[in-house]
Amino acid sequence: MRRQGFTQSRYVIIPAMSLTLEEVEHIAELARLELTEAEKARYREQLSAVLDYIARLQELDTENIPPTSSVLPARTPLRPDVPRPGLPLEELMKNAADTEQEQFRVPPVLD
Amino acid sequence: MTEYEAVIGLETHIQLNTQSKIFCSCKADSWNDPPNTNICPVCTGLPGVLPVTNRVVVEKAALLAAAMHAEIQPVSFFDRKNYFYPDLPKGYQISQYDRPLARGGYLDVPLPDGTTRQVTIEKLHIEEDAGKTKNDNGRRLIDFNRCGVPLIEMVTGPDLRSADEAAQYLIRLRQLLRWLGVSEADMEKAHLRCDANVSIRMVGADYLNPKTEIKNVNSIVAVKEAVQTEIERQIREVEAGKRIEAWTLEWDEDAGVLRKMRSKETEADYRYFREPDLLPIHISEAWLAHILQELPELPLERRARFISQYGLPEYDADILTGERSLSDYFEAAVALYPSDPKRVSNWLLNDLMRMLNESGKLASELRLTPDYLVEIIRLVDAGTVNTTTGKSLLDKVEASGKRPGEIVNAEGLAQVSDTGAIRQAAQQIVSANPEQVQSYRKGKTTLIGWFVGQLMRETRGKADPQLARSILEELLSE
Amino acid sequence: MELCDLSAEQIASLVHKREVSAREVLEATLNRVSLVDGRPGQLGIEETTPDDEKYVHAFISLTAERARVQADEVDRRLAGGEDPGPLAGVPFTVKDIFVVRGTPSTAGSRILANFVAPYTATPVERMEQAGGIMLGKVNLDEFTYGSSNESSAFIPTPRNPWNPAYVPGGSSGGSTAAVAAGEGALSLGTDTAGSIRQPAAFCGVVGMKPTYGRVSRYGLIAFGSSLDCPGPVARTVKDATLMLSVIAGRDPHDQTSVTVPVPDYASRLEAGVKGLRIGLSPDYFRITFVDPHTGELIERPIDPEVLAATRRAADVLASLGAEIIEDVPMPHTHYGIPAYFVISRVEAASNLHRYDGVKYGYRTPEYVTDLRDLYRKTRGQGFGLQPKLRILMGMYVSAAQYSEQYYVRALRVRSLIRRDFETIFDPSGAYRLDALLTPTTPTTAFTMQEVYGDSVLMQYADELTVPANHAGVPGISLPAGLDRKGLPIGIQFLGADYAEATLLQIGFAYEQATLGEDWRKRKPQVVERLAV
Repeated sequence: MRRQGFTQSRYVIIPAMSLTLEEVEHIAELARLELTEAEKARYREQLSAVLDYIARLQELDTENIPPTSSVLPARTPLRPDVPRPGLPLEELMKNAADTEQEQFRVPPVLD
Repeated sequence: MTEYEAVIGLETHIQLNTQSKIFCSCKADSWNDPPNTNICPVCTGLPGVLPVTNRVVVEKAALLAAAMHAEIQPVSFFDRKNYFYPDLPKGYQISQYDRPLARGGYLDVPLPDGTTRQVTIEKLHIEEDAGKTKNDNGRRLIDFNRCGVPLIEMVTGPDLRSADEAAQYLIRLRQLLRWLGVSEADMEKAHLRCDANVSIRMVGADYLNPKTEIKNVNSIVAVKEAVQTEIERQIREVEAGKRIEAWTLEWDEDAGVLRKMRSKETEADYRYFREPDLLPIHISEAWLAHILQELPELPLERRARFISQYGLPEYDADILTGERSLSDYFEAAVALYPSDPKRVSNWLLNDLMRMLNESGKLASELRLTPDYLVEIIRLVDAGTVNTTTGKSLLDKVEASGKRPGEIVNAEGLAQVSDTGAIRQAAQQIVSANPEQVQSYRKGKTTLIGWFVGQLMRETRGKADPQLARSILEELLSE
Repeated sequence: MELCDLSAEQIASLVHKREVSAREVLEATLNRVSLVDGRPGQLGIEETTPDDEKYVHAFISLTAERARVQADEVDRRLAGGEDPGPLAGVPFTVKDIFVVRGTPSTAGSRILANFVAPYTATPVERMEQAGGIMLGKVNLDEFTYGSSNESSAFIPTPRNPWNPAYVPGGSSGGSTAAVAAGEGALSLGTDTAGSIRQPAAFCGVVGMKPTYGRVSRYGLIAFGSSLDCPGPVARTVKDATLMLSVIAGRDPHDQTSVTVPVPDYASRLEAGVKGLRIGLSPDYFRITFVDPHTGELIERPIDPEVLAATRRAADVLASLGAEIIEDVPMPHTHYGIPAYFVISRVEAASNLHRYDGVKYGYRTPEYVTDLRDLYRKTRGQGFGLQPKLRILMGMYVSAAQYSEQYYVRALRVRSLIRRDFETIFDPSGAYRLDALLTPTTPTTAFTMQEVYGDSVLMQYADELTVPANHAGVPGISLPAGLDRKGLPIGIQFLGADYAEATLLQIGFAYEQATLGEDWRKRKPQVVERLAV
């Protein structure tokens, strides 16, 4: 399954259609996105191009470099444990498409 | 057929008893509240909201970690666990993954046979709870009240060897949680939730067989029954030459059976990554020291000390350390009555426990303080009141909040030790009951108890029973 | 000069002195909107008309009545002797990625088109509390995903006021177009890879990305949460300063908003640049990209006119006494975009999980068999091209088996990019810079449709701005001339953490020194046209 978009010399990237249609469909399913056939083809092309492009990251030696998930070296205060009223139910439900008995409603869960 | 042993690990979720939720200021406990009444933009995952960590969640979690002998990490991280489910309004749960608050740890669980099982902790981290969904004619209704309630996920190693041990672990964990004051730990209210991983193997083997996971067990008794049922099923399967498959099972408490749940398609990929909306949790040494000031002597340590220091039987020590407030009460009372801890224990076990059970109060909530209890014991010791009066004083003090001595004076409850007064009362009884006197004198000496009882009734229980008996015997033998 | 063309500072001053009323300023601005904006972006429009091509189309929702109530309140308070605050009567717009209570908060997406927020974003709240008058919500790339503003689901999408055949840039293109066209003196934008600075450059206005954590993100609909920064869009450095002073500062609703005290930005504004060390880096004078046809990695110098404007700015600053340091190495600059492609997508995919048709937003009208079907259809229909692409990409690279190779590696590269900045700003290091001067963008604005649809190509526009987002450091883009086509050129100053005051100080010095230049007298086409 692993594709290798970045091969050969440092500055040439093989613009292979490196992602398969099945892979696109699989990710789309995980992402809960229904796609048309045209979209799948287009995303396959775009994603493949992007994957080829980001293969550049493999050029760098990052062996001893720590990952930066947050640039903030700062520490900020935590919240005191004091309860406060939230928002009225109507305010939080007015944007919902389907509600019943003051609850949000969804179709049955089959999986 | 004892060649099999069970290998059990428990995954528990502990609801911390903070006032507010973990990442927003909504009230944390929604027990009995109508659906969607403790919610706000943050816990319902509105666009643009951000989480802000509740300081007390970190403190309670650290306290628990310390009590589990786990190593509290100076820096830990929150991560997003991504999955789609309607009770998870953001589409990800804020949890901790590879850099949790604490590492390692164990709980020593005393077993009924006198041995101790050390149960290791493989995982201890902070996370937020999801909401609740319920069925509504096929569709589902969603209540977000529980979203963002602070949880500790704590997973044991595969260290438990029987259904009983699993139950003992939960009993000790519940005791500890309440002792620390970090959780109400009520399984029926889902403050403490438990999934059990169960497998069997030949005794003495050191490998692990495929396990099944039992979910949705909501009492300690149910855990015990479900695990026992599953162990027996696995033994039957293996005996019949079948393989155990890694099922997920659901315990049907009413029917007493395990049902197979729909198997997950594949191992889910939650695509964990650092929660960018929260900074790492830094627990400085100063903060940790401050948190650990709240770390009390733990129940099992105190139990051992009660045995060694006060010479209490194991039974007494176990009950007295079952709950922190009771054990504190005992210690306070013993401090005032150091000469005979066992005598104090007897009063607690026989009488105070009854009062606690009847009132539903904690020992610390009684108006009958350790000070007053000891005063009552001393009144009895001194013969000022007899034992019966002493015991009746317990309820009187609790009801009135007054000092025992004050009640004794006000109600004239002091024991009558005045020989003259008792003799007078005894003479009245002897002359008023000629038939009984006759029988006694003919040899039915067991009637002395009846005469003493009459005398005590006459004196409203205040007479010194020993003195009363000897005077009556004297009169009757004349 | 009309009231709507005055700077925020001038408006606030006149309103405070009660020489004009907030209401008058508002009406003049609403009049400008009616003249230059054309029809607002909306759902359901397939094609734009030739007439649309003459207008700016900055707005999605114009909240004129709400604004009138606020303006009247400011006037009432002034009449009563109260001070409504430093933005008294200043009309401003808000990129529609911020929620504002009671107004549609769409993120430029079908999936949020019907969402009316029940709360207000902190920076908007602060501007309103300072007496600012919100005119409405302006268009953007869908969920901010783009650099041209063409990906919005709300059509017509914004056009460049200097020449409506060109894009305004993005994703804060509605903000920069509105400010350039006199539709509000200020706008609140967001910058994740350059989304304030790049469109500011394209539209000839001032745009600032503050230090990460300097301005609260509460109420900002998240894209790349570790990169997103709200910031000011204005016509002058002074106005950007004024606005930053209002929106900066700790917010208890955002744990990543810092407690570092907010300095008095205005006090240093006129301090000049004498003795300041300002660097130039050759790494910012070229771009690298992959040829979509051959797959070859191409390195190309930036547009010579943009480079020339940058060099001219260096000369101006040198003449004012700044020390210009040439050849400052920023070796990881060109890894910014590939690292960004990974980090922002992982965060974006997760941030977009919540749009599922259950609690708010679009829900498929079609019959669904079950929950999964509801999710698939709602999300498939509700999201446009760009969000879908980012979700798929984010899902792919964050899958457990790829996360070390892509995501974690990108985070390591991010550390390298940050080190580049730490090195040059280190007060005891070899360079000891106060700021790095760079072009904001490799080119000036491109035409509508020119690169839209190609994610890789589109991203070059951010190549020189994204490193600051990775590093968290502040940056400001300033207008620095017009190219041969009459399109604005932007230059950028980048600084160390919390060095906003220094950047504003340098920017102000540059702006004042070039006030007399010819190009400064030119006005955007759509405004010029009104005078005819």
